[in-house]
Amino acid sequence: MARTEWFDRHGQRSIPITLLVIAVVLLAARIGSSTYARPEATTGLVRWVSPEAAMDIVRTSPKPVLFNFTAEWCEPCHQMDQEVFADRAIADDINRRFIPVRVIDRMREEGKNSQLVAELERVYSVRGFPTIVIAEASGEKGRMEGYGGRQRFAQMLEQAR
Amino acid sequence: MNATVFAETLRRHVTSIPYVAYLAFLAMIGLAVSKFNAVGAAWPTLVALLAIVIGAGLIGPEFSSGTLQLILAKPVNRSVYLLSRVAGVVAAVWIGAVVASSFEALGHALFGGSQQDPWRLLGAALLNSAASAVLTCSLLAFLGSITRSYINVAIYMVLQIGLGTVMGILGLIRGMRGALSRFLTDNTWIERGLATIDRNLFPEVVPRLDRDWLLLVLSNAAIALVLACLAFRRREVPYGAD
Repeated sequence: MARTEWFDRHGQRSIPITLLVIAVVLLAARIGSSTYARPEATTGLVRWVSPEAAMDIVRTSPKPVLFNFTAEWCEPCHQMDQEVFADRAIADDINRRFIPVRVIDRMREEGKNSQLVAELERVYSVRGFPTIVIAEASGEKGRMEGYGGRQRFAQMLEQAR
Repeated sequence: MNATVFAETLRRHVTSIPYVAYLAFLAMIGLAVSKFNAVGAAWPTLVALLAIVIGAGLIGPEFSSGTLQLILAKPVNRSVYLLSRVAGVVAAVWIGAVVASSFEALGHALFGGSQQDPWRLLGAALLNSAASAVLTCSLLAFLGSITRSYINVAIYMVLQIGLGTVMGILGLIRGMRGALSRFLTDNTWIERGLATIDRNLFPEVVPRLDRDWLLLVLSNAAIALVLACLAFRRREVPYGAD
């Protein structure tokens, strides 16, 4: 078959140029989107700190720590990000009262977690995601396993006062 | 796009009794899940199943029955024909998604439901379900263009179930002690690779707006369609039925 037949719009076996262009544009957008992804877009309004950074903060701050044990693949965790941590009132309350620490499990993606993440999961007996633990020096003040809606989360925050 | 092929494909589905019965089932499920805690539950999976069922007969059976040979005897562009068929099937699936989400919305409006503001999440579930249907139909079109009869859906199901099973088994092995566990822990690319293939071919419909997820699904669908057109334009169409 002659190569020119590929681009002959009236030929029976021509290739769909428009579709080809759409595919290239979508692919480029996908690569661009992942390259310039904004991490804060998925974490709501809470000023999360990493477990490593939290180790320094807890030494000097009297506030209890709010651990959010989560994972990229965990759908209820994303739902919680959108419904709870993107809520201005709840986010402000968390930022004011706690040191919010986001602990991301990478076991499924990378086959292992960092030593600190593994230790935190062991200490707080994390069996699934999301798990929220409010902890201070004297022990746990609140705990929520799984996501049961904004109301349940707000109740847990209230009980931890 | 050929309007006649598109309309005929759509008509073939919307006038079939099983399709209409399935729409009624989707409507009931949509209404029922409006009382659930999560928005957009259950029905996206049923819409995905609809996409697999009606996408199975997208092009393959026409090879076997000899219909395709007759159609391509006319001056019809092969890619246009294939894409019009895909569009017809996708439109039939979208109708299912719209029915299910509309009835869930009706349920929220009538009964209140447990969610305070379900509309944004419901819209996202509808959009994602629609995008996922495009990918499913595109993959089935590609597999259909290189096979015949319903072999496309057989390959699709074996891949989907097989990948999930293999990843589950590997996860179990990694959790145990032994040489295999150590091997998997040292070579995480094996599980990562399988997870990447699974995520690209069979992405789970998420009930939230996620630009990256949408781009992943739509770009993969476009690539599958390009490959389907390239395969279909070279494909020999045999005379007569199997």
